Amino acid sequence: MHPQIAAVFDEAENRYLKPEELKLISQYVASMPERLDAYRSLRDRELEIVQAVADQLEAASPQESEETLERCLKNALLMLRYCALSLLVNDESLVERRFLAWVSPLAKVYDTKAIDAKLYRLLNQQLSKMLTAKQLSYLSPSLSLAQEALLSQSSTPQMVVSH
Amino acid sequence: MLSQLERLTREIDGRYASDAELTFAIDYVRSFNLRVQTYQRLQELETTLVQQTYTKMRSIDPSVFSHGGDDLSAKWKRDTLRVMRYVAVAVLMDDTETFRERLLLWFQTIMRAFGAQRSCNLTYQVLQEVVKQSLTAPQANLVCPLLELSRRTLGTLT
Amino acid sequence: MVIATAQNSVKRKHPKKHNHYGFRDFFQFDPDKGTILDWNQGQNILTTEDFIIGLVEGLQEEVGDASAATMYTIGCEWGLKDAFFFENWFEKEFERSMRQTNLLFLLETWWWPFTAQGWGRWEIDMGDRKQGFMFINIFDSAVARTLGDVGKPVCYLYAGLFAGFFTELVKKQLSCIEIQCYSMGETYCKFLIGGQDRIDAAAFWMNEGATARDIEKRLRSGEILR
Repeated sequence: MHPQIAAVFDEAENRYLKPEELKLISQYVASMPERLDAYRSLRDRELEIVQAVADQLEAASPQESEETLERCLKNALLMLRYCALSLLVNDESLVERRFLAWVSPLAKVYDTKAIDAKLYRLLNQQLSKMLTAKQLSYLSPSLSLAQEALLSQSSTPQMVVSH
Repeated sequence: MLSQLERLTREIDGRYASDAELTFAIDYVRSFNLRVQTYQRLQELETTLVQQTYTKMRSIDPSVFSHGGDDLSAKWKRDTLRVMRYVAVAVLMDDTETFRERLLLWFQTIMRAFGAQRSCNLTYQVLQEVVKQSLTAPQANLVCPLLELSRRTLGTLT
Repeated sequence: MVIATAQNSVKRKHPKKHNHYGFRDFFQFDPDKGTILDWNQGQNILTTEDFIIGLVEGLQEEVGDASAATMYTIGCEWGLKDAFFFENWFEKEFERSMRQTNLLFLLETWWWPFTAQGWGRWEIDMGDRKQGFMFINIFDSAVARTLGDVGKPVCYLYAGLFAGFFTELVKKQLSCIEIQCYSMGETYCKFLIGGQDRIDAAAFWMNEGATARDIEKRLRSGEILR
């Protein structure tokens, strides 16, 4: 919605805002305290959340290299940060523009889908433990968006060498 | 608020905002009801405010409305209304920066090109008086700083 | 098949909006194509100060002292081409001939895209137009601010741009010289535009240590080189 709010100056000289446009802004402002609360929770408990997930992930993936796990965790941490920002400004497209646009191609190259699937499961479990239902409701839309996008990719095709 | 939000999303790329960086949002939420009220009042009164300003200015210095035999009243009303509407949005969104960037700075050069600084100086001085008479004090306190900014930007000979 | 013309979405909604120089109004970013189109359909690229430094120093390395003249010549070419580009979009936007417009308004409109692009804000002084010369002040010259205080004028590109543009505008051969520069410790850059004789005079006086104010005074009192 933020883009719609950003457009508020576009028509400034032609007309005043329609009641439904004002309503949109009012709704966003009314939700701001809760958004700030969700944002702060994510920020203040980030270490806790990611550490717990890291420990569990490591235990559940003994065959994976530390390097790979670290990469996946780092991306998941970034994902959380961008989702948090997205819920703060109420703009889902932010996750797409600022995160998925460059992480997707990377994830494809490294082909970490299986680990990511495990990671996200653990992450979501951890989040539902550490956040209130209200806070989760703000986070879920962008988080689901990001996770689905990253998990739905097809991996890079194998190279075929002909003799 | 708007430009602050945009700046924030740029500056905190990849990290979290601190509480200090978020205070502007809290301040905005607190002031929101007054801002909506003020916005709607300006909408209600825009014609009256412009007319009262026009009348007052005519009594002070009618020469600002004529230039070489042309009557500039209609143009003045259009321009003043335009600035007022931007001011209204800027009050609603608490966004002086966007008001400057998208209107004032450009308008300043145009007013300069037409030598209209004296007219603008008087306009936004009188408009402040008129606003103070028609709006409540808290409302006027949101609007007048932007009118004063307009006066300084548009009305000063460099 | 419908081919959508690349056009600024704000412009599509408000094609006659003259105050369209805010950053997000003027430029249309297309991340898929990797293009930045401006309101007048010009292609833009974003550069950093490193680019400007590289340009200036690289040119210096290649041609030494001729770099100033080279930049000036490039500026002239640019100014000339821009005059046509400008006439085109101005007449489309204002539905009026360039030549039937208040001159100052015309010029402010010409310079606004440059301001939006980061070239700096300007102030134009046409008070001496009848005497055949004029002054332009530039605040926040991109080149000067990048290079900082280097003890000599550096805005040759700007000087050339003004010379080229105004020559085409007034249909008379004009030259331009920077008589004061941020890169010499001043707070803004000042340019003199006029016939070659005036420019030569100013250059001579500058060589002798005259300040911009001295030059202004001398020109206004009708002093010329013999």
